[in-house]
Amino acid sequence: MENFLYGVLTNTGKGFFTAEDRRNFFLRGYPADVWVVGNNPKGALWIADKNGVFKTKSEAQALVTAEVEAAQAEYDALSDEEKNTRGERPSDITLP
Amino acid sequence: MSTYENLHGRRVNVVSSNPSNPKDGEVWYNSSLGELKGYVLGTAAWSAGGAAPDALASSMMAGNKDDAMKWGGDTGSSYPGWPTTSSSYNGTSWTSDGTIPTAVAASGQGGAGHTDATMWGGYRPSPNAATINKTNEFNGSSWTAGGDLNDNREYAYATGAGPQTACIAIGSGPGNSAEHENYNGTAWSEETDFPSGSNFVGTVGSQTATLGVSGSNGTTATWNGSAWTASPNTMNTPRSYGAAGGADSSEAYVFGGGSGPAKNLTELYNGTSWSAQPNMANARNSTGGSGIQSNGLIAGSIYPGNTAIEEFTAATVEVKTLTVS
Repeated sequence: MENFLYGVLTNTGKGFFTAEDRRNFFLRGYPADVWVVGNNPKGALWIADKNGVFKTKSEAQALVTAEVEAAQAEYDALSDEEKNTRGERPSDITLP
Repeated sequence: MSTYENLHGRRVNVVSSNPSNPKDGEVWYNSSLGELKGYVLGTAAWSAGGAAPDALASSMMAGNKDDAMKWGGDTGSSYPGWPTTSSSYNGTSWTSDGTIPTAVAASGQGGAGHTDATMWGGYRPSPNAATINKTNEFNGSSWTAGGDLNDNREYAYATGAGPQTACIAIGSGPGNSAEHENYNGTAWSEETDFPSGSNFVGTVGSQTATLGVSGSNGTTATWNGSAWTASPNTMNTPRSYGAAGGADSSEAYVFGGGSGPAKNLTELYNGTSWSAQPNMANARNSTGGSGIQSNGLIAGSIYPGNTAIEEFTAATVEVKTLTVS
């Protein structure tokens, strides 16, 4: 069994995930509204309750990569002075 | 092996409902629920806060998760076009508030909430004379000019602490400054330099009990109002571009940060050493977060832009079901 579930969910703000959720299952957000949760009943129920769209790992990775590449292109287009305020170029992200 | 009876002088009570005023560490068996219960330290966690009104990086914040102020920041695109907006947070949602005098990102920040916020220095593309040594104060209705800094602080990266009449500014870039100065609501005064320079010196506490931590190398030191005392222990994962908050120099947090890959790490300094705390859900750098008590942390902006806010619930003693695993 895979360790994680993948979904696309819009963060609706307060209550989107609670401290109790965080204690109950692994949960991590990524660019492109991709969320990775522990593959257990509580994690799966959280995605379903929030009207999330389940994705395969490769589908989720493609969404994240596309957003990161867009951010990298935007960063590359900045002047050297403007890059100073943002720290390093956005890094590639590999989903767990 | 010791037993509960040896430790507490009595056996575990069997009760039909949980006691109304349990003592720290007390354990009982709830016969109605068929569960062993204890009044023990719970687990800290981050949860989602009200979505920010804008998706800005390097915006600044003041206050706590139930009374916060957020202002400025950069859009991820070239300047001009950065906003001059500020917003206040009541623990649930954000309300548009005063206009900051100059669009700026990554300035220093201090304050107790939406009626007490202070910004100093900060970055905007050349010419930057309008921000680099300037102070502005918010009183709940408008931003007004305060006293000029003694030191230019271009990349303060949302560090700083203290209420409007007692702010603390340490470090900034470029050049990994270690300059330290304090504000009395009118003028800044030079103080002894922090032991290690950085363009991010996480700052927590008051002018007589300050915790400073260098993002560059994790150097940690406390200020008692007249001198720095370096801690033998450095932050576990040194990182700039994060946020800092907490009660004082013996209960201070650094959360997020990191150049290149952003991090979701949270670390707590207890006056002696740093320890890992529960991670945030989102990795964040260029984070304008704040918090003036351990249970009040609020994490703001993410680069690239994102409106996700997170709030920290510190570990407290609570009734828990005890299980064996």
